Amino acid sequence: MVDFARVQKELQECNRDFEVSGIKVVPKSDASLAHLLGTITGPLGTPYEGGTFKIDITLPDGYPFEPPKMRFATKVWHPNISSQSGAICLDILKDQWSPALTLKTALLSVQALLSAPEPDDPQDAVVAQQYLRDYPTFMGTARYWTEAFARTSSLGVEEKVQKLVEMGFPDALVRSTLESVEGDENMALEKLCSG
Amino acid sequence: MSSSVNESTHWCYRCRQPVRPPTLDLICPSCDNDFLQELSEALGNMQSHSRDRLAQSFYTGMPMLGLSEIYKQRSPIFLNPHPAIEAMPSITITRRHVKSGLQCPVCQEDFERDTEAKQMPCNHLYHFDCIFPWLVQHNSCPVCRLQLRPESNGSKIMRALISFFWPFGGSSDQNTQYNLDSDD
Repeated sequence: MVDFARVQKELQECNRDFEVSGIKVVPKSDASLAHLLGTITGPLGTPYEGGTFKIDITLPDGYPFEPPKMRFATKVWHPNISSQSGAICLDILKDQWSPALTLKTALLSVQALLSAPEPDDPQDAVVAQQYLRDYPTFMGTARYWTEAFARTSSLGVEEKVQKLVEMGFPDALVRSTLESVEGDENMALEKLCSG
Repeated sequence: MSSSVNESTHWCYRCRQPVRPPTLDLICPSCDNDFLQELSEALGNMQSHSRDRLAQSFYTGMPMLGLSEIYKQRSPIFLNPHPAIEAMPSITITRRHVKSGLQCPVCQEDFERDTEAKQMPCNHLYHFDCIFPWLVQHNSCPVCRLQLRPESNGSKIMRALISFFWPFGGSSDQNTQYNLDSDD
């Protein structure tokens, strides 16, 4: 059984300084604290800059004595993250976990991994090969994936609504359309234009 | 160790003791209650539940003791705390600790004044119930990762701790001295 008292405490502390850390964790549903959604911002000076990355978090029964299970829900091009499944290769999420670590420190480590890829210990062999053999192409692909997949979710709902309303669509229609495409700004725009 | 403990296969959540159900019906021979669980599973549950009082009450229908407390009360082999745990000094939380906002790194709760905390060789402090489940499986301080013993002895300590909490027989090494402090 997960120690939910601690999880609750962690969520409060983590979300307190979101503006500074760029790290946020929220429950996926009101029903359970065992499934969470983490958010990290792409580190400055990396091809992930400007992106906001969602991370699926599942807490095992033994948490905090066992590591949280984390997986990128946002597609990302990185040698230590599967471009297919989002699986993360990071020691503190495996054998180097300690109960003194928290969801926030784990996400900070994931964020640090974005800054410092380790292609010699890859999760995604194709990405790692590209990183080692053709670094400029790797940078281009990583930047493109950030633009394509991690940008849309970087805006809050209100900001997206405002942006689309400014284009001349009625507020109510914008909101319902955004909702129907789960907040994907580009898909909403497409739908609004075609509708 | 008493023979009843040796033969026990299940944990009775009402009696809070290891029992051996007489039939395949899985009913406690002491209280006729069927709220039983295989010992190995019950041990796992209690470890992960040891700090979660809410979850424990769910399991028992009543406020429950921590794992160590249960075993100390109910099982003969736990009447005497194991040397490995004893070797870790306990300190009493003072006003200075409280004032500095000292927290248990595992449950992240503030330490309360005049309560006891376990001190690792590296001086990091934990609630007993918080550090114990970790030390059963690992050999290091969660904060600084200081190894309590050289790696070769790690499994020895782990075995000792597991045998300490294992309600079946085979605890012949009960009285073996395991000093968690590696500075010897």
